[in-house]
Amino acid sequence: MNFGIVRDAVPQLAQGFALTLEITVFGVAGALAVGTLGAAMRISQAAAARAAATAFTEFFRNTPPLVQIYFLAFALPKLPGIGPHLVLPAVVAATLGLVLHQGAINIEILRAGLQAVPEGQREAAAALGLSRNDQLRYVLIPQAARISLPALGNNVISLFKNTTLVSSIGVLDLFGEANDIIAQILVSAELFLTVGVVYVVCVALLGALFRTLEKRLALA
Amino acid sequence: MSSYLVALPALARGLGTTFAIAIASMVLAVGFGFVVGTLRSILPRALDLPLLGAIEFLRGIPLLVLMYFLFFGLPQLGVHTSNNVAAIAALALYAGALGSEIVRGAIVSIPPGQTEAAAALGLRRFAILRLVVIPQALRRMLPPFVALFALIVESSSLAALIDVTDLLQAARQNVERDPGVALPVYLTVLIAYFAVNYPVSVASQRLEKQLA
Amino acid sequence: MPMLELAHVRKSFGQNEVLKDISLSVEPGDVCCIIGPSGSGKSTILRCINRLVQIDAGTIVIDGLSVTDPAVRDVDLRRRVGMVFQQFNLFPHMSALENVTLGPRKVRGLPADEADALGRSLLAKVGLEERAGARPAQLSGGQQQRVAIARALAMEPKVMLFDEATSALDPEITGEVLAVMKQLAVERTTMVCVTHEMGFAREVASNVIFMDAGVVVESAPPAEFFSAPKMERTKSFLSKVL
Repeated sequence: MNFGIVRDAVPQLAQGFALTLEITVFGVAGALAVGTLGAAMRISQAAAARAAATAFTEFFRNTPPLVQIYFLAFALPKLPGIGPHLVLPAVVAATLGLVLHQGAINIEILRAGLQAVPEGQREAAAALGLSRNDQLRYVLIPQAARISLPALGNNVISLFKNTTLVSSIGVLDLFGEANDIIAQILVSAELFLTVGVVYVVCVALLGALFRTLEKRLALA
Repeated sequence: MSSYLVALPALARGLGTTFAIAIASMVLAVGFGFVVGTLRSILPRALDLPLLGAIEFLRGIPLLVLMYFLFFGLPQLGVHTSNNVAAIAALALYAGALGSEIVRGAIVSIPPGQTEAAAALGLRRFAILRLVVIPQALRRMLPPFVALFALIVESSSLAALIDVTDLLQAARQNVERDPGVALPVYLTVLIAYFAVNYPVSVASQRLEKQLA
Repeated sequence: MPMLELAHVRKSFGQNEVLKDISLSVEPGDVCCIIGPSGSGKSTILRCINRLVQIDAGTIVIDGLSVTDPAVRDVDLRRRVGMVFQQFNLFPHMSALENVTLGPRKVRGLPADEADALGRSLLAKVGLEERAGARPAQLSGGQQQRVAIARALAMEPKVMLFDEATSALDPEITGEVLAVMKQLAVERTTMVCVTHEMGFAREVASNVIFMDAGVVVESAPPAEFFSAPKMERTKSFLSKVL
């Protein structure tokens, strides 16, 4: 194997890595927003909101993100009538696919976290006369967030790894750039290994970050 | 509409391939998982480190990168595989790493009092594992393994990108021939994956509640 | 006029009728102790009083407010009734002082400095002023329960409900919590206590009620209740626990 190839590829790979990070940041933010909104709807008093949120959650977390990306990129534009207005740039379609899939997973994580808060906490908050919103805001959600943190961290790592899927519709993230180079030089093992190691190191760093966060916020 | 109907048999065959890949990978993953997970639960720290390293590597590397490396990269190093084999191998390695964590976690969660009591009766290490710890750990492994199968089915869609004719690839091929069917075809694919994974996911949650 | 009055209260959970026609009344300043076997419905009664549980039939009136009247808001009831739980239920992500001041700040609308002053004085009252900044995880069970009492008192309620307040404590710790409860009784706080502590009931109660299987079996002042119980079931229960 000739790792000189890797050295020559660094500028292009760096560009791709920057895009990977950008997609990750937007993806995580979007997925968190979807997760919070969806979890709030799932515990709402309104049956319609609960039903809609549950349907969304179950559909988008049980279907492959890759297929969701393909649907957004190639099927949406074919919708009768509004289709032509829904032609998304590849990077947008891909990021949106990740946001929907990992967002649905977040909804489930946050809902489970809320349910895991002991019932006695809700009783005590209610017994003090706190309104339902205040119960959630001051007592239930702060505890649910701590309970959910490990799973939320795992989901962030999942999203980061899934950014590689964007290369399948031509987006030049780190993996996309690597494949672009390989298509020209026809040698691949070194680049795949190098790129693989980059992802593994980033995942390890993210993992350490979240474990530190968990320790900082621990209550006991 | 007619081109959609024409596409259906190909999609059905693709679904069959998806199942075949998922099941093959699951079997291998459970096998790896049991061997590595049990081993790790008894190995001393120093010997465990290489295994830990391998597992962290397999969990940290994106599945797509692993699959591409096995299919495109290995031939450069002299190892040639078919795309089906590369897809199954990548899935099996990834899911095997996750499986080993499931097995090890379940074994470690059995209260030490069980091992102490068995040892006090005079049983040796392997016998304790085989007769006392693992039988109890099996129940705790079931829900996460069921969930792992859903993850494998979902991840198998990546095989389409190395040209394995699974459900997604069958869809891609049909849409390439006739872009007009993109909407019904991809919708069908989403629904098909949902139809498989949703029941599995529900089953995993039910098992979790029952065995709690 | 009684501070608290229950009349013909019934409550079922599904097929299970937990309260079968409960009537009792508590005068201002009195301490009513409810004793009985598990499953007799004692804890449910307390939760019906502050509407954590809705009754199926009957009336409950607290300080002139009817619990069954839909025009009476939850918050109006709960400002008049303080509750102390068997499992303490302190908010783990807040300090002792923050636990005590949450109600005054968010429900009674007190400004932060007033709420703080109130909180500190109540923590001093239960003997924990130096632990104001501690989190529940750093406090012993008895200390946590005393903070919980201060938290309930911070709402300045007319009635204090105690749901087996000492049952989750180690025997040598129950004393410190019972001492606080006795002090409240001496100060003429109206209290309803579900308890297993017969010594406490004998010493402090104005009235002892024995409940079994969802009905009030016997109700009498402690001297009479413990020395000359009238009903067979009461005698049988007392012989097992005394």
